[in-house]
Amino acid sequence: MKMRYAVIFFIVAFILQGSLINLIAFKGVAPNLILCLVVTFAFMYEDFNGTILAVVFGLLSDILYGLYVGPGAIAYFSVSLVSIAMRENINKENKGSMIFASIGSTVLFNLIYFLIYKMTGNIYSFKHWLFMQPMHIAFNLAVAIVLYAIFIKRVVKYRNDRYLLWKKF
Amino acid sequence: MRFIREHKLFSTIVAVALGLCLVTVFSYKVGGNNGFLGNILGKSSAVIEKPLTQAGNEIKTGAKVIFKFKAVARENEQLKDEVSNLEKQITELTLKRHELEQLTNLSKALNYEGIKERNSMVAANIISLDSSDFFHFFTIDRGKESGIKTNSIVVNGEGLVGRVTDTGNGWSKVVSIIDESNNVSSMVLRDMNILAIATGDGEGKLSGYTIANNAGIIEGDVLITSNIGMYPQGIKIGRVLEVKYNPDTQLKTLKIEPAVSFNNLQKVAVIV
Repeated sequence: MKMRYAVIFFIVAFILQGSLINLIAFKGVAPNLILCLVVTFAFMYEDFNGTILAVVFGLLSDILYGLYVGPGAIAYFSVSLVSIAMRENINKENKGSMIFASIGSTVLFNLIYFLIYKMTGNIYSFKHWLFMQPMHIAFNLAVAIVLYAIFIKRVVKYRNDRYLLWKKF
Repeated sequence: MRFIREHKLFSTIVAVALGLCLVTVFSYKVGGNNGFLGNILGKSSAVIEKPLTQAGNEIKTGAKVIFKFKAVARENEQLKDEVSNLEKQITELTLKRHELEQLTNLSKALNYEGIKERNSMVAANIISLDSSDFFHFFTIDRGKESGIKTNSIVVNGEGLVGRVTDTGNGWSKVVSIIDESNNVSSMVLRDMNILAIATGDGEGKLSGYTIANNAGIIEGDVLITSNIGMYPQGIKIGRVLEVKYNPDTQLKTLKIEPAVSFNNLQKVAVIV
């Protein structure tokens, strides 16, 4: 995907993340749109746009909403690198791969973010972190599946062509 | 240098990671103050997100009325009763205030020191929340121009919300009391001689202990801030859920339900 289109997606997600997304929040938990976009772009596209935007929007997110600058950017950056590693090793056309990438990335992002804040003296317990994971995973998975359905057609064109050969036999 | 030239991608990744780590450490060292860049971005973000958040709140309130009509009607009846009780209290308090004003004037006339000026409040809307959802950091639409400073106290109609950690023109960042390990000096509303300390418990509630080991605190007691430390007196902190005697510290430990519902915050007030 061209960088300018990716930037537009991220800007829209970023604005919604801090404001309207809380309309669908359940017990204070809402989907992390930036994370879902980072995973989708890094996992599906053969470029580094997802990683660059992960760092930029992670820093913006920290500056505007976070207590310190850096934790969000580090967490998004790590997630994008892991997504790229997954892209190189598992079949991205398989829906199961996207589900795996989405769940793994959510847990990884939350863990890194939580641990960095824990090091800066935040008082939340690991038990509390664990308790919140199912809701985070469910929300992010739902968004990731929607994004997958939209973008997979653009990433891999004529996906069914290879199977046509088999259908002849 | 040769290694860097031969492994450009790896070197870039390591450089970015190191850079981000350094930024985090620096930010932590300066206490999260974002400086000039943060001020500009904060102001721009407030301008963009404020109308969206307000629209979102309107939709949320509208949806609540439609889908929870019976509950809203019941809540309305309760609020009417509460308003009627509060009106009676206002009448009583107005009389007391009149007496207090007379006494204040008298004390000023006698040059008595110790009468503090009444704190003024600035109302603010929450315009954005921390995207991680773990913590209760949020941004409000008022800042330095309204007299808000770092460590200004944030409250709402229910009680103590937290404190301001960073501020600029048109925005301030707030951290809630349940996210911090800061001790909040408190006292029991029923008997203000019973003093306690409250702090975040790491699971979204508050915990604490009484100063005296024989304090007569009971479940259901309401805790308010005392005048010790940064918090002014009389702000509701929460309700005591559980009281246990700790034989090691020989103090009564408390589990406290915060007065404020942090998941549904929309408006707050800052004491300046």
